[in-house]
Amino acid sequence: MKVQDLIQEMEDLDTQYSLVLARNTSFSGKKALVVKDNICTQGIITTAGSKILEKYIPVFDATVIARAKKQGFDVLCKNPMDEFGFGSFGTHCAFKIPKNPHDTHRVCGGSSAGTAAYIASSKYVDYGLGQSTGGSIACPASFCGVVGLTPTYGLVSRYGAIDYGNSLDKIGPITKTVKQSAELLSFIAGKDEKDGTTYAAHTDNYPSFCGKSIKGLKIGVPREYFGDDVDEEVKESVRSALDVLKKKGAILKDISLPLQNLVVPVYYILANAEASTNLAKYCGLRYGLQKDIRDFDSFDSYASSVRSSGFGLEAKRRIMIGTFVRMLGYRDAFYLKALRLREKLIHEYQKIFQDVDVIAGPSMPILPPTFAEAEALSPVQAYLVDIFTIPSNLCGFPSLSVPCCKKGLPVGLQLIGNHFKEGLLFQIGDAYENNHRS
Amino acid sequence: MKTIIGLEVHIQLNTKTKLFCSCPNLSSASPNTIVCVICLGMPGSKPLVNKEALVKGIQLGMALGSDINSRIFFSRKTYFYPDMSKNYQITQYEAPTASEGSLSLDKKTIRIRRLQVEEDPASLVHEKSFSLIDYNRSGTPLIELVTEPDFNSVEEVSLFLEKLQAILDYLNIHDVHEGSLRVDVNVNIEGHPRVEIKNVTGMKSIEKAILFELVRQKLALKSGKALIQETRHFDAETGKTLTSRSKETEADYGYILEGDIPLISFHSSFLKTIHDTLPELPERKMQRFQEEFGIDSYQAFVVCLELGTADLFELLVQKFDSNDLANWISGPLRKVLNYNKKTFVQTKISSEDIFSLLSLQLPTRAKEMILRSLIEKREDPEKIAKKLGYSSLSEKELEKLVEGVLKNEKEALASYKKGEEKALNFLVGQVISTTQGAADPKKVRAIFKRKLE
Repeated sequence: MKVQDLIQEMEDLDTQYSLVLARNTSFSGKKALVVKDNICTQGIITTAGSKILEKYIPVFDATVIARAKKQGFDVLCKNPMDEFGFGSFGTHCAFKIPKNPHDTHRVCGGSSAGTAAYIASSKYVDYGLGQSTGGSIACPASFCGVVGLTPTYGLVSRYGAIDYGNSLDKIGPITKTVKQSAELLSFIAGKDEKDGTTYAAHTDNYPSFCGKSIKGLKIGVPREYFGDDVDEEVKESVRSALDVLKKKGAILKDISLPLQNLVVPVYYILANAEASTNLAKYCGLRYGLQKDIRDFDSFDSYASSVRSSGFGLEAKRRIMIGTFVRMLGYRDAFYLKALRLREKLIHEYQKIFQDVDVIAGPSMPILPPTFAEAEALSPVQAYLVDIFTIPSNLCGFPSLSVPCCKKGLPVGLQLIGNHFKEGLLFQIGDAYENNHRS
Repeated sequence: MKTIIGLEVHIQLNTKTKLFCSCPNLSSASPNTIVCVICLGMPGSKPLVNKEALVKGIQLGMALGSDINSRIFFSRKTYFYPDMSKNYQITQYEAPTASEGSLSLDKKTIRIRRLQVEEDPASLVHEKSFSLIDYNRSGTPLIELVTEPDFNSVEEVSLFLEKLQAILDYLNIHDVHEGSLRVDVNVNIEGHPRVEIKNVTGMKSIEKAILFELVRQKLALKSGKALIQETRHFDAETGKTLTSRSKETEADYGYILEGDIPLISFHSSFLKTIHDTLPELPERKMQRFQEEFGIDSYQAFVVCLELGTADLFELLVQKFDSNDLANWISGPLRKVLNYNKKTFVQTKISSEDIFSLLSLQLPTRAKEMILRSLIEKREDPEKIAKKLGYSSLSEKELEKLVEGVLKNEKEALASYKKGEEKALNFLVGQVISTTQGAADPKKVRAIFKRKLE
């Protein structure tokens, strides 16, 4: 494969599906990596999908980028995403809205939309880096039919990830195969002195888990993941995938998840509270969108004007929700209560992991919707589609989304493990994938 | 009308690096030269905690007898202001470094509610039609110390701040310079609304601001006006406090946890080590100096105001009379240091210099003049004495001068002979002034007495 082919394909994919923001004009010809646009790349425009960061060029590489480069990768291009990660469909984008390669009338899923679609549609590029706050890797991986890993919080450095919710954000691989996911994770995982929330000594030889037998592994199947509000096609695909795992020797256990109805509200309170502080820095003073400061009579009016024109509707909505839940008088009822519930949720999930090795179910409750269908949803309806992907971010657990539909629109099988059990997820994911392919 | 005052003191820490990044923590450098992606709040950067700053916070907490939190976390305090690189400040909210401390003044104890470690914003330089931002200060470590409203007078506030500064100096956690100690003062008359004066710098300004505010409030009440709860600022040029642009509602900072910094736990043995290695603190030293060297409490207080002068005292006390030495340190030396707004250590004058200076056979006034010159330029005190014309005058030379004065000042001489002791002071003064202070008044007086017997 020649560099020209890669570049030609990139142009074609962008024309067909709108998958490219900034290109690396000095691409070295090494192993190509496509990257979600909220991961800082030195010298390459990084906008986090927001007009307020239009033309922003970071002066440093995110740790994941620096580590991937050391392993022979180079960034090929940055991919469109929901502004700052605010979306489940890849439609809240300031610059371009990527289309699902399986059906261009349908959304890619958000927020790592362009990256998942790129991996799904490229002949040449197998490795992408996505980022997730509440399902932003699993959702587009599921809708586009690729493998997405959302690692344990603290396993992969967030240094250089443009913050959405610092206690929830994770960077993870989006790849064609489980093995590739394991490889890329092994390159980027591990303690980083630049990110105080990373852990030392929790990495594994991830690729070595691929090909291992899954005989005797206990897989918990939550009843709640197969309820009436989940699409029949989704349930069918996931059930047949579970049958495959059973045939391969895994033990399926019927389980029930606690506090499932609280997952979405707790998540949106915490994520938006954090997001509203993270977005405060964008005020047109040091980088990003600027205006002529002489046209304004105060800092407040200047910052308000920059922010009003720089942020999209969803970003503004989340700033308002996030500010509200931490205001005096509401902080106890929302923010602090959500923090306590989060702890409780982690505790409850840990109890489940005493009985099962992983939890399995669909990544998304629906098939990729058309743009019209996605647009017709109210904000709350749109938030609710994250219900299965949120626990992994809220509780810091790793999760792997593996494509599990043989025909029609893609469906993702989601495997959730206990902290630092990425190896198990690869083991099971790879076992399924090998069967599926053959 | 009882006065109630409470303080929020912001203390700049003298750590090697800033609180959340590895930029050096310098008090002066060209604008915007000590900055990085972290203290500029660039997207994707993450704060990393400077342990030295946390330890210094714990040290001060312990020195003030506070409860130390063994588990702390940081929070985000959100507000928009041009000096804020992230438009939120990383500070401590629910779990401050220390709480419930105290500092005792002469007759009362000031309770300290909490002590937290936090980052300083950038500094703003206001020009006529615009303002400039210097991010050198952005992210430098501060301790915010909040007292209970336990002060009832300006004098108590001054004494508290003096004692606090002494503790900071002994712990070596703070370097004194312009703006290194900033205070928000809450002042009210009992039963009336509280007024906050924000960001007052320097002891003199703090005293003036409180005095002005007290007079303003009392006059308003006397003339029947109602006071309102408000935030004011102090204008050092006019010496007045002025209403700051009033906020529509009470400040709401929307505190949330700082997710980039994990919970920090201190092991009890770690805290014990800090406690056990605290230096002798000013209060203890004052006591000891009184007991060991027989100086009085006032002398001890002034000598111990800074570690540099306390050490100087302890070093030289073997060679000079302890009372004379304490008097000299708490008198002329203190005066000259205050005038120059420097600590003894900052003057770079050595104890050897002071030893030579005090060994000179010159009157106090002359030594003070030499000291002033010494602060400007370090030189051998004896050389300075010569330059200034303070060569020790011989007995003969003094006698000559006395004789000259007796010849010229007939009137005063007559008065003295009539029994007016004051006239002798005048005569002595004449000699001193002709020598420009170089003559020792005691000696001159003795010569006069001899001549007039």
